[in-house]
Amino acid sequence: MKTAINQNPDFDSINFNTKGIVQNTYDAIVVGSGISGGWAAKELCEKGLKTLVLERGRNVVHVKDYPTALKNPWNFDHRLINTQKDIEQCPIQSTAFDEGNKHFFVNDKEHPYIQEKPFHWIRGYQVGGRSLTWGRQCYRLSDLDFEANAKEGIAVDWPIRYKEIAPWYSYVEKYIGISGKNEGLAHLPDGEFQPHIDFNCIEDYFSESIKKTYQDRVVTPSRVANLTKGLLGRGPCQYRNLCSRGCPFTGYFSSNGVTLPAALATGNLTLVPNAIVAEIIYDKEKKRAKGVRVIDSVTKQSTEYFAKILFINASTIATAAILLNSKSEVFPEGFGNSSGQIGHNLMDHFQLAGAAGIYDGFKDKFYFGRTPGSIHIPRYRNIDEKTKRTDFIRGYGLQGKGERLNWDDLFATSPGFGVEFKEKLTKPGPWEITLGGWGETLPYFENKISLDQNQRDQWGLPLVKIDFQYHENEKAMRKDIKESCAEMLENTGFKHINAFDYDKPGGAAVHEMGTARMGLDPKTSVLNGNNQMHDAKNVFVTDGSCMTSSATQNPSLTYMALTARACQFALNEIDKGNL
Amino acid sequence: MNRRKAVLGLFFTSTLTYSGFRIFDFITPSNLVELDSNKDLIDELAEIIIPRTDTPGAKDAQVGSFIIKFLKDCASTTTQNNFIRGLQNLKSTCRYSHNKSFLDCTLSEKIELLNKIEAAETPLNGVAGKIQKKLFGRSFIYTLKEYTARAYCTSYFGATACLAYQLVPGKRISCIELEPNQKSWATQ
Repeated sequence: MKTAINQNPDFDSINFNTKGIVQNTYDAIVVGSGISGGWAAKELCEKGLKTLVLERGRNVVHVKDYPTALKNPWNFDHRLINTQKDIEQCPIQSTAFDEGNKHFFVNDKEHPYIQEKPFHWIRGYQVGGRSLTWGRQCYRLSDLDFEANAKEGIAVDWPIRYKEIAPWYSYVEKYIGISGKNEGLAHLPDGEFQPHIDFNCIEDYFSESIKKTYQDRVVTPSRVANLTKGLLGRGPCQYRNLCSRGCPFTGYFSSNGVTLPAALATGNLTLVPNAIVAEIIYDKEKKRAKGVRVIDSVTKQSTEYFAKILFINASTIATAAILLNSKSEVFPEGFGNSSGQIGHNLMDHFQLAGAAGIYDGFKDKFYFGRTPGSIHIPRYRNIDEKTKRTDFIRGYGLQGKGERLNWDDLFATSPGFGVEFKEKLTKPGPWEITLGGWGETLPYFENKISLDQNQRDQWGLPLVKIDFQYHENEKAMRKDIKESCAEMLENTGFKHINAFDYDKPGGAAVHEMGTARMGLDPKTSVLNGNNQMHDAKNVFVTDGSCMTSSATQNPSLTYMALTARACQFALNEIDKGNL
Repeated sequence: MNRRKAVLGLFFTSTLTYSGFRIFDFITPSNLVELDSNKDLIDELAEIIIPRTDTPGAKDAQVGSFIIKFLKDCASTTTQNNFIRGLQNLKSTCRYSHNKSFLDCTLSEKIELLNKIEAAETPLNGVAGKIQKKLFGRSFIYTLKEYTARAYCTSYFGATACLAYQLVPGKRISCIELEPNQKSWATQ
């Protein structure tokens, strides 16, 4: 007997029904329950579709399954530092987790992949996916981004423009709740924001000084999916800055806390965890997807599920892997891959170039509460003729934070031992601002994921092989980020400036994109302007794999807006009898 | 090229004296029993770094046990070896210069000795310092202070009595006046 979560939210295990097609048939199937899958579930369920959500990882019930959320630092065995065993078991994930949130990241040994070149594939296999641990920064793309490929003759043109997605940005922003400030910039469009989180005094000083010194840039409070006011029974944010452990106050947006409960409330959701989608089944006659074949991660038993429409939201790399693994007579190179583009054009933002500086002043000022936000400097390169660069195309945004240093830094900079050292360690240190760039990576065909048929995981599925590297444009931009951050701090009175460029491999920004891109031409793209597969009209892909270019903005907001938009389109098509 | 040579030259000369580093340190398994048998000494070192004043000290917060746990479970082999050798050096230097054990020294003798070791271990600046850290791990005093600070500042006593701590602040006030004797936040 199959147990749906809407009947028993506290279930521990699921028994699969393999008996009949009828019992396993739904109106819609959503593969993945992360930030975009959660949105697909909510939209489809609210529109009355019986929707099956398949999640490869374990169930994580909002609040109940956040075991560390209310722990103090002294409640952790290793006081929040990773052990050598963590590093050995999870050489990749441990670069992103700590003792407080490591249960929301996979074990690299259990879930191997092949790195042709170093690439950090950070994953969270559980209900909610990485929406539990995401950075929560939400920025709209603009026509500067949507038009860039076409203007510069790079890759393919986006099939949409800002005006088509703008209402969907608004729709998503209003529902999830984003704190932020409208700045009236054409290249970082305004949105529907809750009150922003105020700057502290060093951020305020920096913002004012930048405004005086540079006419082409602005320092704005980061736009974060943290509620500064209560919304639909959620939040507000309690200023703990422990978001990635899961929030018992629902102070930030996650699938677990927001979209999945909304889907559940309709009575139309069936959520099945531990369900690894191995492949999409093609119906040659109807030229559509019939359903999916799923492997139970625990029993390793196979089951088939069927539906009128499919939303594939397994995350950029995993979605491409599922499509590539779905081979048939019609699609020998993978489902919907007549263009040969699936798996290619992999992008990630690059980060960790920037600068930090100390400010000698405001010694009598401090702050209360831990902000989950930060400061944001929207892109200021290659916006117009005046800001045009000769050393690179596109640009980057900066994110940063101002704070008074505490013991975590002061132990290293305070020489000596005893009462004086203790005094220095436990009193507020000097003010510091750190800035770091989030740069646009171009879509290169040769940056790709593929499947290695000779190496398989414990479920018999071929291992994902990732071949990714940055090129000259990204390298030139990194150099500029570092120099520009240091220059801004110098020009605004900061001292002891430490300009840095930590050369992290691709994936480290956890913004993978592009492996099933949208485009106008079925010969050169996988999805059309409605995230619908050119080759199979009842399959939609609305996670990061759909991105035609990466822009500089944190991309989750765009995935959510595209998902809501694609759900509406799919519904209209069903109503018209086209699906 | 010359600049590079100069940097490397500086770097190799200095590493000769850097905690008596040996090239096999990063593969030789550490003799971790040394840590348990020196528990009293580690407790005392932590208390010298963060003594009890009108607020609790390192011993009150059981910092010594955590230093040992961090070293055993979290530190790289190189850092473990640097630390254990650092302890041995400290003990033998003390015998040599004061003709008594470290624990028997007066507080000012202890601090004077630690100051000398800290000065000798000061890492190189810039690129050379980065290579030094990468190849040779953290120095004895750096690790000692890092782990003491972490164990103390994340402890119940440290966080709540000597620092300011709130599990659920509930609000954000971005700019407040510093109170007299204002403590730093335990968590950012």
